[in-house]
Amino acid sequence: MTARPRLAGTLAAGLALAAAAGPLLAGSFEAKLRLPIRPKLAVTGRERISIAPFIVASRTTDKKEATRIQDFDLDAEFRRHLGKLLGKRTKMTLVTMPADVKLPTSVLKDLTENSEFWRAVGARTGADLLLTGVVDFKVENKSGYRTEEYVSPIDRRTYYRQILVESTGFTFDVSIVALDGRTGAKLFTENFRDAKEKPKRAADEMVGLFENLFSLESQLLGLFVVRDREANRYVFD
Amino acid sequence: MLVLATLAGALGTVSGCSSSSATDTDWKAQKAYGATMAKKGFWREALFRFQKAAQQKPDDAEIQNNLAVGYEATGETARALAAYRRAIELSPNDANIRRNYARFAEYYTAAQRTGAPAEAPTPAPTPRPTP
Repeated sequence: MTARPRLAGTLAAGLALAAAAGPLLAGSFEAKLRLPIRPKLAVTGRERISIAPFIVASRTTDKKEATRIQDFDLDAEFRRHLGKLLGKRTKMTLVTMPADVKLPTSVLKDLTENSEFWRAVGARTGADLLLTGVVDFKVENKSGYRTEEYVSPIDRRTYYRQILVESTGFTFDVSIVALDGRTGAKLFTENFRDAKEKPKRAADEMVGLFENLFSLESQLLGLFVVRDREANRYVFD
Repeated sequence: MLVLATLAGALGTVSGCSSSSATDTDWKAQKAYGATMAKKGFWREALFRFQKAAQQKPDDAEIQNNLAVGYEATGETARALAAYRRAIELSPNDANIRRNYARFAEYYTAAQRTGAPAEAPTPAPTPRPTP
């Protein structure tokens, strides 16, 4: 006789608990979203663009360490790489810069302020956007002695010893300046830098250079095209 | 009989709670529908729903958080920042909101470093007249 009221009480309590816990069970989940990163320059993406010569910052590369790049034309190689990148990954029209266009100065500040010169280059090429800047590539010998733990097979004790670790460092540094092809005015300056270290003393310089350039590709493209990146965020339901 | 009567009474109480007012259920429905859309990746729709919910319940930290995520997903970073700040203000100890805000801050800073996130990009070059 007492079993029924007890059962009813338990059921009622359970339902009341469920009702109270309802809002608590609402919870949250992690949603995936792609976050847009808009380009540095407000372009439509269909502009005519031309790449002017770049200033080569220094020829101070240690020649003993970089025999293969002594006569290397860094400016031409970088412009070729950038042109290929823009041609493939953007919808911009790449206009060839006439070969006789020479920079009037090798001082970046003076160069970017010379709107007369850039206006003339813009008129000659018919480009909406002109790129120039400074490039630098350094090869450095990063070899050195490092301390290492060593367990002697004779007495099983731990000793410390100095070992020579050979490595080569490659640093690529570029400042890109975008100029308005019509007015010659500077639109922006952006600096990119990539440093890599290879575990060999005589690592190939050209491979080092192009590894630097490939690492910078997405950042360079970020100046002209919208990119996105994946992210997770909590959303309450 | 007694059991049935108790069950009916309890259910009546539960349903009575959930339909206490039309507005109350509406913002909940908007929020839940927005969350479903967000799960599917339809962020425009999700944002629209979260905006509706926020209009009815402006002081709800969870809705402000969802709204911020919606703005973030659609590239409106300034509005996302404002909504995250409001959410934190309303519920300063909520771990999920704090985590979202930290991640948003990371994205916002990185985007500003590598390429502006949107609000103030460098002006475009002057267009050339077409011949």
